[in-house]
Amino acid sequence: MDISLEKELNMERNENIVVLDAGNGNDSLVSPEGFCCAFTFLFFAA
Amino acid sequence: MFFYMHLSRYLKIYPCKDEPSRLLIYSTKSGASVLIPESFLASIEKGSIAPSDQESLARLGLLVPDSAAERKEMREALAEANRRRSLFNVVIVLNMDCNLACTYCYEGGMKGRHYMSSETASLLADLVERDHITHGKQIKITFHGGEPLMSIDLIIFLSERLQAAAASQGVTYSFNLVTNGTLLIRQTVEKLIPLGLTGAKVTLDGPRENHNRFRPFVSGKGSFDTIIRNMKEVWDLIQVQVGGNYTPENYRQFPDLLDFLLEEGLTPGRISLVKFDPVAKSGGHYPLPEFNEGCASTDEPWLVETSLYLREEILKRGFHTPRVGPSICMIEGPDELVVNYDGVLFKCPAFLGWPEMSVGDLRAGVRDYTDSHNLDVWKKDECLDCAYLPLCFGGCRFLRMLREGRIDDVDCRKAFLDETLEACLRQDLRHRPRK
Repeated sequence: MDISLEKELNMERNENIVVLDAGNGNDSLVSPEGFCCAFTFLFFAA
Repeated sequence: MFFYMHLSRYLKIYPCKDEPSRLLIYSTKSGASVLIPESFLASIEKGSIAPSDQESLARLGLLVPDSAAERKEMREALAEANRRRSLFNVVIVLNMDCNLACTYCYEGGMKGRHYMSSETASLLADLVERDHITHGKQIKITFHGGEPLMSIDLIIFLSERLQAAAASQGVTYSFNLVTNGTLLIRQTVEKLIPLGLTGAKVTLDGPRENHNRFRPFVSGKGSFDTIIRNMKEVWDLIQVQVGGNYTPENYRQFPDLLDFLLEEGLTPGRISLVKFDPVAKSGGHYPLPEFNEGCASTDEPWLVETSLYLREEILKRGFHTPRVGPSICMIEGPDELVVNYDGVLFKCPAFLGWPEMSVGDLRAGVRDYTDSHNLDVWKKDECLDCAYLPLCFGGCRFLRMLREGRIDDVDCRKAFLDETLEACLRQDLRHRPRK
């Protein structure tokens, strides 16, 4: 998650938008590390 | 200059029960979560919000300049991720032997004293070196079995060779183990760390009595105490992950395991990840004759309650568990490969029992598997317009195969996510550590 973006946006003291989690911002749709096998629990990239 | 922007199609919007005038908006694409007043959503839809708010929401991935372009971008998302990828991730099944006799093992009737030969290991090292290291890819290996630590000589042979080859090309080499944990002693770990060992995933099926019933040694003796002792010996050397397989009958016992780990000093700072999963149905051409339980779908109704319950129990004790996020089937990655002990290649470890799903062998290389694995199965309107697409990209191909005998369509997660996503998000927001 992009903590700095989250802090930056909340520091703007925006009364309409409370950022709970900035996620990955809008940098990329899918991280190249996102591949995994849920079935066999190969989550080492997490 | 002011551009009118559109809400992303990959959003979920939930009312807040404790604050009825507010909405929780979650982007399945970026992972961002925000709270906004309900009236503000109407303003967003009308395009009447301040440019600074518009910019903030766009940076979070909630607003996009062009809906059609976003859909098109999503269609190419995995291809783009693959283009940017600098990692080759290979799962190596070193043997089909094991010192445990788990009642539900998905490798089922394939088990036996089958080990990778030194000739096959050399062919494998040749392939990794020739096709990946010399192309500048970082190398990450997951040693799998059977029980991988019953082939420690092969782990050393492959690691010494690949580590040296990687170093000569200026790329990294590392490996981890999917092990039952019974042979994970400190001396072994200390020997493997200089060769690239970074972590191990062990399996504990709940508290002692339940675990020993499902995962005994071949002799019939329980394996629980041995695994716990080993975890306590090695947690300071490598990242230790805990997995566990539950059934509808025993999942309520799993929190007792978490309490036991805490009592034994295996605290969240010493366990890198905990994740419990339902026992899957054994299948393929080598099913276990005596085990006919297990699930083959996320649509099974008991999974909603069990997965949320266990996730909460893990998180509330401070353990780490995977956050809600993309779960992309390995078969979508050209730089993902599974090598069986006999040199036959697959795209997913769960397909080992399905010879027709092999994608080649070490001598002939990887053949085109676009059709056999129905790679673009999710590139259809129903999926591209689904807000959940970034979380599933067609789901688990193996579960589809188990149910239908072929990958003729996606393993749709919509019903499951409808029931669980909001609760999972709220769990993550409630429990995640703040930096």
